[in-house]
Amino acid sequence: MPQANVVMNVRHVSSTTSIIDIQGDLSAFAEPVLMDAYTQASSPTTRIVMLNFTGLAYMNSSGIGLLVTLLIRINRQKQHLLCYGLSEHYKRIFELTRLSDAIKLYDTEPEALAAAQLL
Amino acid sequence: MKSRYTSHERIACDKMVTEGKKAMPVFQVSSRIVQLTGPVKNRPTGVLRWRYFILRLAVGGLIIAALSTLLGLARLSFLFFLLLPVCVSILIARTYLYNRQVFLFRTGLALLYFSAVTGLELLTHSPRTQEIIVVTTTLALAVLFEPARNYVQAFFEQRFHLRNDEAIKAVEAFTSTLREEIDLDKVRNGLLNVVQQTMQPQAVSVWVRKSVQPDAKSSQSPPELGESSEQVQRDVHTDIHTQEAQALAAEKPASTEYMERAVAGDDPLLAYALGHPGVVEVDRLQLDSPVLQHLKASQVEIALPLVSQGELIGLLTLGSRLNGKEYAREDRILLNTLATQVAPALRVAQLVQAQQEQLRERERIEQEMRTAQLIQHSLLPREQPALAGWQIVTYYQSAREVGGDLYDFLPFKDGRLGLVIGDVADKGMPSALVMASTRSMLRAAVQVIDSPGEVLARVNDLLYADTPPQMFVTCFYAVLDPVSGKLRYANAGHDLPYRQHAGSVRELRATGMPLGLMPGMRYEEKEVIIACDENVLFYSDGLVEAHNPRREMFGFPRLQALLAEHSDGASLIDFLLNELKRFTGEGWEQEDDMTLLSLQRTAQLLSMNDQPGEQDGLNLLLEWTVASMPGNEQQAMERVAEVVLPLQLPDDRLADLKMAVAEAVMNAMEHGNAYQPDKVVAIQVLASQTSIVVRIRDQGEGHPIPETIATPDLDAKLAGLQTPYGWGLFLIKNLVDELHVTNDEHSHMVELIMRRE
Repeated sequence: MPQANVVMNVRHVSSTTSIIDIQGDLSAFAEPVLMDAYTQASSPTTRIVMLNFTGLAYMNSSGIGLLVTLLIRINRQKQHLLCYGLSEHYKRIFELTRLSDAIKLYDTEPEALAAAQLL
Repeated sequence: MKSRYTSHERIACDKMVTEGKKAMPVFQVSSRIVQLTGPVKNRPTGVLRWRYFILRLAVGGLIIAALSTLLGLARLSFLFFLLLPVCVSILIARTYLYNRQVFLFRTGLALLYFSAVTGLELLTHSPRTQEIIVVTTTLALAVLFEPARNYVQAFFEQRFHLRNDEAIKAVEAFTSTLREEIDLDKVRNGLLNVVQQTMQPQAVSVWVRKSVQPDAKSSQSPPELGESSEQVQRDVHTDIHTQEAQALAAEKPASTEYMERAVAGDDPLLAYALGHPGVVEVDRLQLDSPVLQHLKASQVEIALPLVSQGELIGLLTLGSRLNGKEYAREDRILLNTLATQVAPALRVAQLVQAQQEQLRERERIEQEMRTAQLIQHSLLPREQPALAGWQIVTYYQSAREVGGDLYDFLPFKDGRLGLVIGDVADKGMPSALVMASTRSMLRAAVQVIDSPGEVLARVNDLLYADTPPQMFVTCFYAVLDPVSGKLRYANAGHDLPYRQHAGSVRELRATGMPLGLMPGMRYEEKEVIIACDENVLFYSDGLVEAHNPRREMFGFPRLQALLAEHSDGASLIDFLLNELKRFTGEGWEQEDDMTLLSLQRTAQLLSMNDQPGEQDGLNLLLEWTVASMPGNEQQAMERVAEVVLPLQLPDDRLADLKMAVAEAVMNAMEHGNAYQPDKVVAIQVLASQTSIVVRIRDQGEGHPIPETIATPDLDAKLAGLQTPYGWGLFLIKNLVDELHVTNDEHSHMVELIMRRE
């Protein structure tokens, strides 16, 4: 049944960095949820948005399209998009689609945060 | 003497006994009782009264004797003068005739006047004048100056508040409100207020007879429970001395004691009251009446019947006055006026109240029915199950707020669907209750029993144990395998469903007794296969037993004929309902609950076994269809994974295959079938020694699948030159080892091949 089977939570770890925790499925229905979360995550001082995929259950091609949409908005704001916690399978998908070029992948939150410092 | 008003309310139960039994009228008694903290000032009784009488006699005699001596009129007959004191003291003794103060004042004034006139006479006449002249002129003077005396008397009375003008005004104010007031409590409280204000009694009660509307509803008024007047009597005697309350201003007594008392219909006091309107001295009344005893025991001094239109509405009782005085003549006149005015108002208010109570009761019952309706509604399926390749339409209408018809859908995990239609004997609330129970039993039974016949047998035994002898349930239970179209069914005395195909109508026959009649029954089980476009109609007898104004029945033959001519399952039920309307005409009152359930097979199950080429040792592991609804691709993906699990693909390859399957199914649903729920996507999973093949086919609308698949350009997408979406086919192609696309005019198919090594 058409329902957004996803929950997202936004954390402002610093004035320049926000994290969006994703729990559930990233499919077409996740669009409003993701866009809302991004709006919340993106303050005037935010420069880095991180996606926490440790809770990701399922992602399909629509989910990828969604990430591309997000990326466009990120770029417009001159922010950076990082992500961490992807399973091996989805990492491969990211690489296959070359999404990994545009969105940097990390394994854990501390790693991602450390990398964020350098940006 | 300080006084405080008590405050508490308590209501005992109604004891109206109707119809053939002796009517026991019930009176609602509202009382105001002043709690005295000092000794009660009682009227002198018995011996004391006689003493007072003699005292007054003596005093009276002395006064007269003194006066007459002073005026030298001792010559007149002593006998005459002896009579005077006797008369005077009798007058004083029966002081209910006059307010004491007023009397004394008037007497004093009269004596003064008498002396003035006599003195004037003495001055103007010498002792030699003829007696007759003396007498006549004295009388003439007295009469002439009488108006002056009246004027002086009235003036002083008013000046010193000796008249009860205020009381009269208070009563008038109250009675003027009675014209408008219909609230029983307000009238009662107003009455108690005005009596307390004007008379200041130690206790005042108004008894109002409870009336029951003499209409058909009176048979419903509960012939209540035998608690007899004993209990009420106990209440009566113990109530007066309970709870304390804060003192309140006399104008606003918050405190009214309130109880109900049953009185025997033949109690002599009632008849007496009806025949003697006006103030009744309770002490002087001798009747064999329990009520009268009660009044005397409660120290009631006077009682006023409240009569209107020849009916005894009630009684107003007053205890002795707080200031110990009698109820004087003026007070009694006032009370009579009050009683006459208030009786009709009480009657009207009472009728209004009785009506309001009836209305509330009716509303309460209606509200309960509405709630019951809501609950039953929630026991019926909320929506038709979406079964790929099948169309199900339902209709349910109970004759009353709640009904005894039942229908249910029981989906099984393996994709089969149980269908139930049933009818509890009769209609209304009792049937609804059995309906709810049957539904639960069926649901429980199908969890553990596969065979429809055995399910019915089990439920039959359960219902037999639980329901009254005349209650039974007819029921038809079928299990549908949507993939093969097999329908396995059993019947417990229910109307036989019809199957219609290409204009011919047949019945689905199976024998069995209705549920709940006899234990240990067996139910015949049959199986048929529903062909494509075939339509099965399940129904309850509300439709066939509908009557038209000429008392003809809709009937089975008519239903069959209508079915034969109407082949579209989607609109069948609307069609039948229209025909019913035409048959019964306008203003038809539904006689019985009506349920209709139509099941039609729509989609031709896609057969994929005629693929050209390849059967290189490929074994079909599973094939099924999914309805084209978003989210179903995940189910399909999981099912494929389950099926190929034994083939032990490496995890990452399995994950790739799953994703490819999901993407392909999604494409088929979205682009091939345009997400129409009644369109299906057919999936086949085959395997050989060397590879796993998954074929995904849609129903052919929409665009053909592109044979060459371009690589999506991320940069172009980020630059806004391409849609951000469109990754599906690319992913599929890159996730599986081989991808074949086939487009023809009936369908589009992708074939995904994963090598096992």
